[in-house]
Parts: sequence; C-alpha cells; structure tokens
Amino acid sequence: MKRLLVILAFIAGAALIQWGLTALLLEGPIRQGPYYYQILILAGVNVMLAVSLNLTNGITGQFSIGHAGFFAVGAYVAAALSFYAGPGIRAATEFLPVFAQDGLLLLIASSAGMLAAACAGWLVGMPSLRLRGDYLAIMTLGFGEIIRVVILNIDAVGGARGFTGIPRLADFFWVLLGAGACVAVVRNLVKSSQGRALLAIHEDEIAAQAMGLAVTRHKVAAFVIGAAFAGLAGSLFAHFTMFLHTNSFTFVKSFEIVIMIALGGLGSIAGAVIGAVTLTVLPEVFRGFAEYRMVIYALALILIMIYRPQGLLGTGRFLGAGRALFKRAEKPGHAKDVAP
Amino acid sequence: MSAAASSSALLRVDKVTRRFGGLTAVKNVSFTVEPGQLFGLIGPNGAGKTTMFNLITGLYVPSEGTISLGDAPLSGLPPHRITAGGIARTFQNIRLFGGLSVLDNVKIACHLRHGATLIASVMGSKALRGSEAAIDATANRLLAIMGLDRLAHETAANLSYGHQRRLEIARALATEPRLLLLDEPAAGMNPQESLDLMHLIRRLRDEFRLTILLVEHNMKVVMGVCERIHVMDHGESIAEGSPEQIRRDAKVIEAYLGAG
Repeated sequence: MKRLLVILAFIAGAALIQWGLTALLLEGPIRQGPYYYQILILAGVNVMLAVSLNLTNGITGQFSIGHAGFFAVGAYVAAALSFYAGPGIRAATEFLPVFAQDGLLLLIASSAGMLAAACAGWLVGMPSLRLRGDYLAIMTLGFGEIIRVVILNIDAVGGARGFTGIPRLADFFWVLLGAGACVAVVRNLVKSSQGRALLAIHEDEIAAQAMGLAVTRHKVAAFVIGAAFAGLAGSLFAHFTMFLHTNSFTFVKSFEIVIMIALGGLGSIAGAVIGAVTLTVLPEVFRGFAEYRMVIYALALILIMIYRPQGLLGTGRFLGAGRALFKRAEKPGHAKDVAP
Repeated sequence: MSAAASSSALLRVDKVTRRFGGLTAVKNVSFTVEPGQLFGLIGPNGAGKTTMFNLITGLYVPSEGTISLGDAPLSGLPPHRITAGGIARTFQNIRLFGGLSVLDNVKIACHLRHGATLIASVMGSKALRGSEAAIDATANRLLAIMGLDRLAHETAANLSYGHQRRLEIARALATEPRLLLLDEPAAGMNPQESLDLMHLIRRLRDEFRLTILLVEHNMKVVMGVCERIHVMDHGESIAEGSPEQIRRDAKVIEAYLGAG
C-alpha cells in the first residue's frame, strides 16, 4: 500500500513538474525556453541509458559497448508501431479524451519497443555473454553496428532519409516516469539476492559458479533488463524528437553512454544519473566554444580518469569492468609442508 | 568394488581419467566416500588432487570414467548444478568475493536455497522480503558458528588469512551441502590454527551431518582428522586405508620421501 502511494506521489510530482516546465519554458517568459526543455528531455533519456547499461558494465562487470543498438531497436519499433498502427488504435479509443489517447498509444508503443529491445538483448546476450572482457566488447560493438545498418536499409522506416512523421506523444512527464521506473527497477534488483549474485559474478566467476549461481543466466538476465530500458529510452526519444535517423545510433552514442557511467562511477546508480546529466549539459554549456568543445570534453575525461579513476561517485569497490580483465592472475602458491 | 559399498556410498569416483593434451593429470582413479565419513585425499605436489577436486565439482569434465553423488551421475553437469545437487567446496588459493563484505559473501551463497526469483526482486515484492529475511538469518547464523560474526561488515579482502579460510567454509556451508570438499584448509596456518581447524572440521561434520572430503598437505591434520585416506601420486592411486595403514605403507613413504 505504501509503495502504491509513493508511486502515485511520484506520478503527481512528475505531472506538476511538467506543468511548471510548460508554463516556464514552452509558453513562458524565458528566451530559448524550448531549447532548455529539449536538453532536459535528452538528459532524462540519457539517464535511462546510463542506469540501464550500468547494470551490465558496472554491476555485473561485463564490458558491453553496443547499448546504442538496443536504444535504436526500441526507438524504431515504437515509432513504427505508433506511425502505422497509431491511427487504428486512436480510432478504437475515440471515446477517450485526447491526452488519454496519447498516453495509451505511447504506453503501447513503448511496451513494444521495450519488448523488442529485450528480445534483441536476449539474442545477443545468449552467445556473447559466454565470452569475457574484450571479446564481449567486440561482439556487442559489432551487434550495434549491424542493427544500425539493417535499419538503414529498411525503407518502411525511412532508410537513409530518416523516419519522419512520428507523432509527438512524449513530454518530460513521461521521461521522468521512465527514468524513475528504470532507477527503481535497477535499485530493487541490486539490493536483492539477484543483485548480489551479479556482484559475485563481477568479483569471481569461478567462485560464483561454485556457490551454485547459474552465471550465464544471471548475466543474460541483467543484460536483457538493461536492453529493455534502453528500448524504453529509445521509444520516448522517438516520440519527442518526431524524427529518427540512424546517425543518432552509431557506436559513438554507445561510447558516450559508457563514458557517462565511467564518469559517474561504475556500479553506482546515483553516479550513472549524475554522469548522464553532466555529459548532456556540459557539451551544451561549451557550445559557445564550438571548435574547442570536444577538446575540453576529452581533457575533462582524461583528468577524471587520472585523478579519480573510480568516477565522481564511485564507491572504490568497483574500479570498473576493465580491471576485471587483469585481476585473473592467480595468487602465488603457498609453501607446502610435505613431511609424511 | 563390492556391491555393499556401492549401494551405500555418497560419492563414487569410478575409473576416472583426465588428460590435458599429452599430460594425464588423473589416471584411472576410483574411490568411494561413505555418508558421514571424513575422507582424506593426499599425495605429493602434482599428484592430481586438485584436478580430482575440479573433476568432482564440474570445473573439468572427466576424459573417461564416471562420478556420482548418491544415485545421481555428476559427470558433465555444469558446476552450479553440482553445487545445487549438494556438493560445496573451498579453494586452495582462496577465492572470496574480495571487494564485498563478509556478510555479503555468505549471503551470495544463500541465494541457491533461499533466493527470490528475478520478477520478485525487480518488483520488490513480499516474497523478496521473506527471502531476504531467511538469507539474513542463515548468513548471520553461519558467521556466528564460524566465529566471524564480529567481522560481518568488514571487507572480505581485509581479513586475516585464517579468517579468510573460515569465511570460505562458511560460504560453502551456506549452499547446504551433503558433501563438503575442503582443498588444503590448513595451508599457511600455524600449528595452533591447524589444531583449531581440526576441531572445527569434526564439529562441522557432526553439527551439519556432513560428509567431508579433504585434500591436505599438513600430515598432522590429515592423520588427526581423517578416518580413511586415499593416496595419489603422479595422477594414480597408490594406497587407501586407515591413517595407521597409510603411515606404514611402503609405497606412500616412497612417494613422499623418494626411493631410498
């Protein structure tokens, strides 16, 4: 009961914030309001991407760099659904007020996007999560690019021209709900024994197996949940921008998400949130220096990696998936007492 | 193998061979462990004892031969299924989840018997709270038994060597095994610690009604605690019997001291 109240309060709060933002930024006195509003939306989408990738890269200690692929699957599947089936669904729900029609359509499209991304996550995860470290990284990178090229060649979703005509159904209210759901699910998972199993896999796979954990199953589960929320992020992104192009889903986007969680602290949920917001807002702040922007951005990252390798909020416990590659070396054997 | 022994045995290793390329690490080894027994597996360095452990726990698959627990064949099952079947182990070169707390190390092993499902965990449902309470109680009880309760919130990697070994045993017990495999539990311990360990091993066997298979180099521990001993050398069985028989066995003395 208490949980239901918290959820209702969160929804009400999100609606209130949306109302405030509409009054202030979209129809209000602030110059460039819509631009700030757009940054807020992108920050929310990036929070979902970072928190969901953190489940695999930070907590389970696997190194995936194909998250943009699941983001793309969610975006295109959801957008295609509301573009092609939207009018039919609206006709069937005509008796509802317009905002409820919008919400219902968005929910249906987002569910489809999440489901599709989760299936893609399962298909990629099953074979590749048996691999370790750099092999997994290469496999996920390859997958991300395959998805992008496949979409580029599907004419029904615009191909190289891009997908236009997607209805605008998402606003900051929905992004806030999506990000809230993502954080809640990941947090619940991490605090449960399922989450401890993921931490154990991060620490030592052999010992985790010996404790009776089905290592591959746990890894795939984390990966699939992460992919599903990347799909949700994609769906909300598509229904806000109303236009999709495969250029938004290249491996550069995947790396951006990896950098967000490295910056915030691998394994920390709050870190992922802060990393995502920082890396959405910072480039906009530096937009004035156009050509120096990427230089400053890169410098900031290098400095953080040197002086704070655990990330801004890292617990120091997870120095990252990369370290797991090197710590496999066995401890030296002990002197042995061989007297009979 | 006599028919009587085979019907009551808990662990049966039958003509097991394991080759790594051209190297035969374990060659045609057979032994049976009766329920409730304290069984020792000894031999000089490179005798194939740890390979035998890895074969029993599923990290390696036998090239030939079969291993079974009770009536269930184990060969070919993945390690986590074997643990689920009732075999737990510790590692020769300690493999704790070093970055996690002592309590979490044990809680992770409780997941096998008491863990909530993925759906319940994600939703944070009532089933999850019940399972977490059971896990918490079990883990704390095991830490108390192993004398680690005051260190519950310490990071595992910061524990002393002896405490880390005890934590490995606590963690193995949390999977609720029928058969406990201890891989050199006394390695690196001083005589007093070894003595304490011997008492502890006996106590665990009685308290948890365990069968224990022990690989050990420390002869004092092996002779003091084991009821039956199997000796390996260069991957082959060379003797089996009570501690007294093994102590006097000419082949065993030769294997350890070299041919006179």
